[in-house]
Amino acid sequence: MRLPPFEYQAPSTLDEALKIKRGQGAAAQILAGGTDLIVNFKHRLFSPATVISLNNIAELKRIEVTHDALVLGAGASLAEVASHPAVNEHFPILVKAIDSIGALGIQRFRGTIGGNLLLQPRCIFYNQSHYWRMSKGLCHRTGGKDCLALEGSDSCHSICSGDTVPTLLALSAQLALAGGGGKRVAPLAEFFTGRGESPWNIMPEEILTEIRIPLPWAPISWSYQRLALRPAVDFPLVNAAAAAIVEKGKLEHFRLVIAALGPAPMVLREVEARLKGAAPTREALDLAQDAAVRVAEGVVVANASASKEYRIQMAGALARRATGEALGLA
Amino acid sequence: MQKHLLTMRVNGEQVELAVRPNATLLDVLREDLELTGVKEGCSEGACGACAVLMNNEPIRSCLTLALEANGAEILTIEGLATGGRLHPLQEAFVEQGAVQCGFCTPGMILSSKALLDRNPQPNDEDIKTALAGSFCRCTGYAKILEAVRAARDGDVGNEGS
Amino acid sequence: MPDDDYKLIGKSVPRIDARAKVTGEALFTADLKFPRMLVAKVLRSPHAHARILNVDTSRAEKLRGVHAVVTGKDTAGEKWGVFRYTRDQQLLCVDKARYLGDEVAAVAAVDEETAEEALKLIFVDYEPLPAVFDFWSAVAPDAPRIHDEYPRNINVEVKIEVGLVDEAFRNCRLVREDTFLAEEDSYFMSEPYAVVANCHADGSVEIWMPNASPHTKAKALSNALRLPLSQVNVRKITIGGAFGGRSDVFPAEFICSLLSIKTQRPVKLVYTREENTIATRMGHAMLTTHKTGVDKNGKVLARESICWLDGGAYSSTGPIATSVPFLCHEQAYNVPNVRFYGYRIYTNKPVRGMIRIHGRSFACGVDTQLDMIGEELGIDPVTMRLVNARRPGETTPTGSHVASCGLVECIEQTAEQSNFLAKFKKSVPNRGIGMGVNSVQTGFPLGIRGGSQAFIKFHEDGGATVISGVVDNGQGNDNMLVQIAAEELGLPMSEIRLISADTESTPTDAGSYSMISTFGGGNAVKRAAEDARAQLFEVASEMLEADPEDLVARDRKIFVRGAPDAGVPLPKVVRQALLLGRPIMGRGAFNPDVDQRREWIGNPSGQLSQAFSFGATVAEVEVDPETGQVKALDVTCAQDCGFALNPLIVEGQFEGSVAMGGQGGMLAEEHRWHNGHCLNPTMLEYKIPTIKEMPRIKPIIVETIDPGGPYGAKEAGMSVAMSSAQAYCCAVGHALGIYFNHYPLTPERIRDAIERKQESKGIKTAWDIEPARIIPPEPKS
Ligand SMILES: Cc1cc2nc3c(=O)[nH]c(=O)nc-3n(C[C@H](O)[C@H](O)[C@H](O)COP(=O)(O)OP(=O)(O)OC[C@H]3O[C@@H](n4cnc5c(N)ncnc54)[C@H](O)[C@@H]3O)c2cc1C
Ligand code: SF4
Ligand code: FES
Ligand code: FES
Repeated sequence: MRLPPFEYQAPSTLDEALKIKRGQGAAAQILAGGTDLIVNFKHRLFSPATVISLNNIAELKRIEVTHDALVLGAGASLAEVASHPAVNEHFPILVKAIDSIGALGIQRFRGTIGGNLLLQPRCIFYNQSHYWRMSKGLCHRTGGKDCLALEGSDSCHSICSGDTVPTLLALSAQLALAGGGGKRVAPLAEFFTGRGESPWNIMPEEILTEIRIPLPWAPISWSYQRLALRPAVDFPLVNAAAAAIVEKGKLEHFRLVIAALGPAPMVLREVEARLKGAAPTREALDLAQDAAVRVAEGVVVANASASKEYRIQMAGALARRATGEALGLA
Repeated sequence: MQKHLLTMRVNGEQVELAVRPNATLLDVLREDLELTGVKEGCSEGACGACAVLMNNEPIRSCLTLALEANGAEILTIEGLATGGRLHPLQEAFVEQGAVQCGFCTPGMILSSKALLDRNPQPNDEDIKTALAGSFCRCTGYAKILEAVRAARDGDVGNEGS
Repeated sequence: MPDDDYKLIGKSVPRIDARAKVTGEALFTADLKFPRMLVAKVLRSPHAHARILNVDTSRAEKLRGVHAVVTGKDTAGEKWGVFRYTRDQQLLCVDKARYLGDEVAAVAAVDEETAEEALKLIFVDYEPLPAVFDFWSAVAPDAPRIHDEYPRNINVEVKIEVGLVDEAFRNCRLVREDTFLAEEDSYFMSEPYAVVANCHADGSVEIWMPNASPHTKAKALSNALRLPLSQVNVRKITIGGAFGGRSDVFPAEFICSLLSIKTQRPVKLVYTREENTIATRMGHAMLTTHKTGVDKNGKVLARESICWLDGGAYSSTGPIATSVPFLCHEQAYNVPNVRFYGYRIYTNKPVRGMIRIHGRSFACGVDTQLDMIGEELGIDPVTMRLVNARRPGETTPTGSHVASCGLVECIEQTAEQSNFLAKFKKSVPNRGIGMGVNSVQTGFPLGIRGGSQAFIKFHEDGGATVISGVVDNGQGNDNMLVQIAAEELGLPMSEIRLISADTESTPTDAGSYSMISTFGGGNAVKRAAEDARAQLFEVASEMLEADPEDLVARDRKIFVRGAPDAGVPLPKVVRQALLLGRPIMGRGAFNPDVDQRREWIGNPSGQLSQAFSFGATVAEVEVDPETGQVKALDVTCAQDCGFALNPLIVEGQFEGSVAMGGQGGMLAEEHRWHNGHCLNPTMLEYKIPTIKEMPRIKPIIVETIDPGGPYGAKEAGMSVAMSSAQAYCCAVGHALGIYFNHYPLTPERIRDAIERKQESKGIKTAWDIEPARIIPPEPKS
């Protein structure tokens, strides 16, 4: 399959890249590992005027530990992140999440952590060939006026499918973005809009530069859960991440995230609020499961490779497992 | 669309050619360099037939812009045997019956090579993880697993191919 | 073969084609490149069912770089069908498009970009028509008709009745009726379909494409292009898997040839993965209702099966596809009284063909129902299968004599080696074990009649070239032919060249679509080699002053048995033969001994195939009841393949069969739909297995030495593919105490069944599915 025509630029500094972005905005698209972007090009989901490769920009590939955070350059490859000693020391959950992505041969060495976060949300009516989509008809995301997965819906429900997303969110990651007005830092939790047609709070001229994960003040116990129809080469049907800090038998910190359901990952704040401050008990499991099912019911539509009902049920099952494992209740 | 100059080493040889920015590495290897051992099975990153090694790491040539390989070292299946002598992995694939239709074979062998270079003593789980991105519809993978084990253990050259 | 201590036969020798495949040297169709070659692209219908009112190609033709555009107008009006009575497919749509993807026009241009651009400049006026996407709506009296000549969209109707079915049911201790449904599955051979056609100044066309029968392709193309058969030359090329999906004739080769003829240039058409899925063939969806009656020992006395198959838009191998699920089981189990109604029904979906595990709902239904009956009667699954298993020397209901059959051994050995009964009785929560049993034909007629022929010629240095029409789809046929010739001629395999699968230079062969290659092609080559050897012995006997009867050919030598040191080198014999003016030219032919009067619909009775293979598979699984996910732990599979010519290759066939039939076929593989759109035409969304989830596989080769097969060989792997699906199905059922009747067993189906189980009681299938019924003939109006 061929790609649409475009110009190619591979600047060696972030500034140069930003300059091109400033000039062209959305017409210039960022290529990190390309493992998502190129497929989308082949399907003619995008036909940019220019492709800006981040490959030569060393500053975007740095991984470092500061006094209070682990800083991952957006352009660091998944292999570099997963093998970095600091990542393994502080956040083995992230290694597990990365290990579960697609397959080693697909994105381990080319795919980047930034690209995984900014993976275009997926939908079984959207991630199809040009012929397929044209014969099916347009939807919100392709310039139409309806959603093929949920007729009459006024927005797009495509699915945030990046495997590292719930994990980074559970770890309270922050994003650093560079754009016209300089650098800004935003919590990952506020990055998602919940609308599939424009899933992130990012400006057309902005580039994601870093992902910062605050170093925990005490050891974290964690869990990453993922369900797919195949153990490799398969996007998650639903995934869940939990991070907990238990001190002196009391749950001091807890965060439970479910994702791959709709355009945004969902933080189950209510579970967090109910559990914090007390000793974890098995009740937490039912609580997490019920909350996840309720939340999932509100966002899941029939647009993945399993039915809506199954994905909702499984959101509950995985939230339960993640909670159980993170709290040592399994 | 302006063509760009692409310089890379392919199977040990320096190549320089002008390519369109929208050409994939797969297009350039198959069409310009006529290295048709690089197979196109899905063109979407899923099947692994197009795998090549870029700086010793397995990548999907169908998902890689040719220009992204500028300055890189590329190994395709054509570059694996040296002086008419098969690489031990190639021998093992032949001897263990790991080749049926052969369409997945180049990608399988290259992915296995990257694994053995990285980790000379992989266990079964390591092998499966390294090959999980390569589909084979013919063999059920059993003999492929055996072939990689045999290459790992130096258990090749027994049957003389 | 006089002596049975074979040198090569029965040995695990590495395949002759493997070296070219591990070096990347082997060329597949898409790898071909010729000077001035053009690239073709196909314009496909964006409607599932539409009348084509007008096709305007004028703008596309004017685009720079476009060399030709073809539409239905360029066809000679011929329709393709495997049988004379099933010719229903225009190789480029003329008046109607019948599924999303139907070929409407095509272009040849200097490159892919230009060809794609040109497609956008073809303007087609469609009148969309109501469409039907499942068999229930397709047979409704008011359903839109997809083909005018086929009322109620019934494409094929097969009826078979043998014995006294109703009377037998009355005498049964127990009669059950259950219904089983399977969704569509697909081949997903690794190589996407591709065609290269090259028309020459003399009017002949050379064509390369992955195929399972070059001679069938050539014959169809010669009809469609109105060219003499000798002018249509299908060439040999490496083929990236078939599994039944390359047997038929597709519009692609016709279109590509047409474009080459029009442009007088080589033209290449490479399908995308999506096109390979929707525009070649896929498997049928199938509904089966089995009514089975047994005596108190579990012996089946009578069975009535009604099947509906969703055939998609065209006939393809329809009559065969409709019958084979039944035929496999009339072979596998000995049921004296049978009645079968098979209906293949048109829908506005991609065309369906035969696949490695064709008839999942029929086969899994048979074994699931046996387990249900067993539970009611208190008989274990192994006994249920043994009581009913086919035995050698018997005759099937439709009249095929079964000369060799090792089914009992297959059942016993898989049961023993998996420790089946102990595991079956000891209940470990969510763990299950199940057994499947199946049988396949070793060859049946498809379009082309006749068997296989072969020639062998010698080179002056004693080496030989074998010429055979047999095609290798990846399973190792080339190796098989050379191994046989080498054995017979006493030559090393490296000194035998093979010319095969080329319709210009090789004699006819039926094709490798119905497990016939070894039996048919192997026999033909064996006979040709025997013929050549006899000629060699004739000459050698004069040189050695010995009786030809006493000679042996081995290690490039011919000698008197027992005296290898006193022999003459084979090259010398070859040269002597030339000197004497008696050059060695081996000829062999093999026609399977089948009843030529047998016909799929008109006369389904008589010897169908000369031999039948049998298999049993045991699968052990663990189910996660919370997610419905299944982990397969161990699979033990046995097949009576007659004789394993090359155990390494046979095992490889078994293992591949477990992956495709059981692991993928029963746990994951299905197409999902949204109206006529296939939701998962790609490798990412259609879930064929990866190396990660494959279980440990223990292959068991059972040998019965078929009297007709070469060295006693039949076929390898097919009955394992089928029985694996059944074994997985029964194993998951056993793990959960559920009788599954909707396949494949995806996690969500398993979850759903677990939930339903809590409400239901008794020995029942998981879902109440509307049974397949006899469809009454259309009242004449
Ligand atoms: C067969 C297959 C299976 C897959 N399976 C999985 C899976 O299981 N789980 C999973 O999470 N993913 C999966 N992926 C998707 C993808 O490979 C990964 O998500 C990968 O991490 C993407 O990273 P990348 O660097 O290749 O992204 P790219 O493709 O380069 O980029 C992705 C998107 O992000 C934008 N982008 C990237 N970096 C930046 C930046 N710094 N600033 C602004 N925008 C940016 C790009 O413009 C693009 O739109 C799969 C892909 C394939 C082809
Ligand atoms: S969720 Fe609806 S609007 Fe969004 S991509 Fe899918 S079909 Fe289109
Ligand atoms: S062709 Fe690149 S992964 Fe399939
Ligand atoms: S050998 Fe055919 S796909 Fe692997």
